[in-house]
Amino acid sequence: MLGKLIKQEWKAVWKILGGINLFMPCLTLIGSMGLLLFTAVQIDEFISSMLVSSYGMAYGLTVFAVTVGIMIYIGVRYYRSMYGSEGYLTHTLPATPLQLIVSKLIVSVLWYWITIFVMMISIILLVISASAAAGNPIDLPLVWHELRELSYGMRREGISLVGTVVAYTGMYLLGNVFGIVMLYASAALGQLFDRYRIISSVGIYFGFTMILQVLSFASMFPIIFMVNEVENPLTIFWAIIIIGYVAIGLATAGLFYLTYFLTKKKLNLE
Amino acid sequence: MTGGMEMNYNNLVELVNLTKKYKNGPVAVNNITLAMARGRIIGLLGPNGSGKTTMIKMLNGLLRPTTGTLTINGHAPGVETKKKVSYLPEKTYLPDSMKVSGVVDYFAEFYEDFRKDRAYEMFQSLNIALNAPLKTLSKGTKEKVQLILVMSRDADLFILDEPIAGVDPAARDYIIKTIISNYNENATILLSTHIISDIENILDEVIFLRHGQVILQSTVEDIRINKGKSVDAYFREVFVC
Repeated sequence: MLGKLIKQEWKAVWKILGGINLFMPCLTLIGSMGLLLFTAVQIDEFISSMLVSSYGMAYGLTVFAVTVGIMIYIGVRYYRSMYGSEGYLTHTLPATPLQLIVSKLIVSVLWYWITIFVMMISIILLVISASAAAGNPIDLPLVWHELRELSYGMRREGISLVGTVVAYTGMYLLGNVFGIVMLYASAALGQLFDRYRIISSVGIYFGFTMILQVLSFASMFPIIFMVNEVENPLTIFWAIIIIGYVAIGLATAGLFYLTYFLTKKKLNLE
Repeated sequence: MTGGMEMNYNNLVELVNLTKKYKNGPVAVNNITLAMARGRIIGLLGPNGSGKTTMIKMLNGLLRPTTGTLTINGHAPGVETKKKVSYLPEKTYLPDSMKVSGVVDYFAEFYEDFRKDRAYEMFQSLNIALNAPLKTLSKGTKEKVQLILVMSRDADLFILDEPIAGVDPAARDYIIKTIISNYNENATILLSTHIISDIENILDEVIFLRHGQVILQSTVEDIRINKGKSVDAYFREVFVC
């Protein structure tokens, strides 16, 4: 059943999320071609700098819009299909609430990660094009050499570069899951209201965000304390990673359970 | 016969002391005990706010009872009952982004008892194109699409919430014809409505609800013989304003 639900959820969202994901590669392609054109054709320096800065601003805005847009779509899609009129279809399928939530979560998280990946590749390609256009193409062997130097340097301090990248990437990816589960929990709480459910869900989401910021800020204090007290910086390094994983993991599990509980026991369709 | 019915293994649906009270709201369903046998077409009748939709939502597992129990085929609402209950809600619930063929595939994917050939036949008879996006269909056509999907299952229990409300008389006739022609004698149809005259002839039984309580459960024949009235006339008498 879970496989069928994932398949149908994927079918329901791939066109829109795939479409949103085309923005970044298209903008990168336009930018790269524009930069190459600048090198081939003599353009007034003022005009070219204006064009480049406008493009840079548009690019930054697109990165922001795509990231936010994907999250908004994921939230709206979840609310509509679970607690809106479509919920009458969703909740009468021969599936458990857990299967319904997990199937949507898997598809949403996968799409979010695909978006991040596409965004990163687009930015890297743009940087490569910009370097080439500026007559200073990226020297890949040199980059590799510098990375190795960095790795050796870190190893002398007892830190693995690969391990660090993996640990922080994992924490970032887990953070993405948490962000989506927070959207789901907000929707599950918002549907409890008799009126203004969508606005309530949005309000609850911002409430969660504020609580999160306060907690993040508060978590800085023990780290500051450790900086003064602990001799080995590696201890702080691992403490941040371990505390990060535990905190995000617990928060994700807590909000996921809240979503599940409310959907199973307190479903309140319009 | 009012209120309770003797419970036995031939009953498809059994409700025992079922109550649903909304938070800060009224008691929508108040201590109902009743049973519904297999192979019946049952009208769930009552004025607006009598608890029909709340009872139907509980049967479909969309609401949880405050107290009491309900079983379908011996199971509490859940995955097992959803495999065997075909539900037509009061509102349009199909995603606008899908095509007619898409929702047919969707139903076929999730419900083992869904009969694609039956659905295609009905779509053809109504000239509803399979490649038509749902967002391009009128509200009435969307309702017909939903009814076709729901009636194309070989379910044990069909629950139709106000299937003829808000549709024109021709569509009403089509809906009634669809219900009769796709109903098999082992299945039960629970049909909620307050437009009784049009469906009276297809009903075997009726349940009258008022303020969340069953005030009558009877066969249509009994009402006609004992009260000397049609169900519609008797309903008007009972629920006179």
